[in-house]
Amino acid sequence: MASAAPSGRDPLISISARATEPRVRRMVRALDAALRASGVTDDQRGSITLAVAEALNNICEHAYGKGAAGPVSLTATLAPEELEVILRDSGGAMPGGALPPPRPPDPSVSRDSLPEGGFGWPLMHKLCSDISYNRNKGQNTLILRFEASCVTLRH
Amino acid sequence: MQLTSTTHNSILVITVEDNRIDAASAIRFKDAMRALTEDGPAHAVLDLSGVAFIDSSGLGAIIAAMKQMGEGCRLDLAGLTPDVARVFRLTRMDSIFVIHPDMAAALQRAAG
Repeated sequence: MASAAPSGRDPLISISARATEPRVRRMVRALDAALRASGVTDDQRGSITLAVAEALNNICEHAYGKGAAGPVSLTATLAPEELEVILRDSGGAMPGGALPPPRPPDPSVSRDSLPEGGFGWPLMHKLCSDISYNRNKGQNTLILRFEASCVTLRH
Repeated sequence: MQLTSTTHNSILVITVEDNRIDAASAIRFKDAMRALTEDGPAHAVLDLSGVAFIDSSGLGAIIAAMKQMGEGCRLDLAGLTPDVARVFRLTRMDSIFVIHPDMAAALQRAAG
């Protein structure tokens, strides 16, 4: 369920591209540049960029999967105490219609059992103050919220 | 994915020349690391001081690179920039590597 967006504000950045890994890299770089120019702290910028990169990678890999990559759009809007990032794609639905749980991989296992994946969603849960997902008419909307006070205190 | 390497006192120093290890380059990183380490240095240090960004794909590839070095071999990390350190810290994967502030410290620690 989407809560009210920072209203009446021009987006900090609004871009769209095909959801391929090289294009996602470019989108993440563009977001990073926009954040550098925006006045958020370096710590906030790093956290936001990482969370958005993880979300975009998931869209590449899971929403579109092995078929032809479709478009993904990113819109980031900055308010005094919060940044909101909206990602939209027209790929497949999130399994079960819900977000994966935040349970992170375990670093204390034996070396051969060390995980090489599964870090993305737990990272997003740590970095975002709120994550919401909905699907309507074949379109996925993922909203990531970063509260100014949260981003620096969480870690 | 460009890696360069030199050997100091039997430690293989691997420098990542790209400034990102992300979903677009993680597999190439892993393959490049395998090529450098498959004839087995026992101890390698990965210099990440030029890397400004990794995502969880990059993290997974670094872990995979360590695992593919095999039993008894060691891959340390050096020169983590703040954004890269954040990924290791939040995933708690900083606990599975020896992490040096920079390469000078890494080589000093190994020699000492």
